[in-house]
Amino acid sequence: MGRVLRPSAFSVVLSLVLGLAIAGSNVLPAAATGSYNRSAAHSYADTWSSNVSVLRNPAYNSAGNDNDCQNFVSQVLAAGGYQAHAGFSWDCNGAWWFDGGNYTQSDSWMNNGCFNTFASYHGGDFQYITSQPSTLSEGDFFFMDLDGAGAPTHSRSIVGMGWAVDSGNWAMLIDQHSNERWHQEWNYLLPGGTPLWSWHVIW
Amino acid sequence: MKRVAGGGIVALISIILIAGRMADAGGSRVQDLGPISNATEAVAIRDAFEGSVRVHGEAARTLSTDQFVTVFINDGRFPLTAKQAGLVSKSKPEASANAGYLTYMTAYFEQWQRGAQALTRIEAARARGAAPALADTAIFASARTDPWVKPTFEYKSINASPDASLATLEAVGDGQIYRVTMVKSNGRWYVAAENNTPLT
Repeated sequence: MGRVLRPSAFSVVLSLVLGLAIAGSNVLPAAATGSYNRSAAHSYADTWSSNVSVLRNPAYNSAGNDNDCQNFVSQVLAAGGYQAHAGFSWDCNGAWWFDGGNYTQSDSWMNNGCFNTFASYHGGDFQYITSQPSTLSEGDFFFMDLDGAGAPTHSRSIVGMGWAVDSGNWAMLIDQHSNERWHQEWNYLLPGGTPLWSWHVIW
Repeated sequence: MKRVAGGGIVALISIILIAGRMADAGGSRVQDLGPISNATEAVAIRDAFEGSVRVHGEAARTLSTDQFVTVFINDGRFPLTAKQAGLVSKSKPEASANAGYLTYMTAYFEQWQRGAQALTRIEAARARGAAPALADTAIFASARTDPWVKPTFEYKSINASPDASLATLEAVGDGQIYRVTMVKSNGRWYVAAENNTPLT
């Protein structure tokens, strides 16, 4: 508990200043310069997910027991070293950040549809995958529409191949929040008719 | 429409009350239905429901709505949920008045088709180093590429009207609790409403 996370040093002032620049520029980001640590992302996802209890890292805000899925995916990305993007909190195209000093975050940090838009706007960081999520890698993620409104409403974090808890199969596994899942198959309880949005981190 | 089976005034009043309750409740009231006793009809209802799940699942891979008229139907007694109605008003506004479940499913997949077209434009923009259009980033999508797997259902209940023209079923499977209203038209069962709960 109380794990310290790297992006939490972000300041509101920096957010506003840089936000003006990014929100106004409306262009694709520069080529990726970082290096995503998939193992660290995987480790974080496994640490903060469970099949039997609700785990929430107190270093972050919680979106509650029913709506924490994207918050969890954002935390996993941050644990993998994906760096914050300054901007106005409501700017789904440009902003993705958590301010640990003030316990505030961008909409994209918590909202599935908003982060899906963010990812689509950062092609240098995320690659949209049209093949099934079983082809993703640890630290990647995907969205689905579970309420029939035509937009992403749920997200899962991919943690790589392993033995699935429920089925016992060797399969691509996920961790997720809301509902709480740990090491389940990527398509565990996934309706066969729902659209998916799958993302491979290339940052 | 319900068929008046007898000439008794009591039966007539009962039918009027049942029809009134259904219309008033928009299809969500099922207390006038009872557990189905006709085994053949029960099988037909289950087959029609599972057929609709198959058509839905296959459409998610092809984005084709061609088979929807064979499993879904519009029935004015069963209005859409707020989210379903919201999608129709956004995706297919010209059909939003009195839209039923067939219209909703068609609108949902037409939006999905437009999302696939948007994805193509996003990728083209990216290939030439340009920013994707905001409108495209908001709606892009792609067809499912994992094979559809026939789900196994655990049926909690199947209820039907006395004249076997209306049925409701509750079943668990395909990652959801399905709550489905079905109507019989020209001897065939169709899905007229769904209000499901994901278990994901």
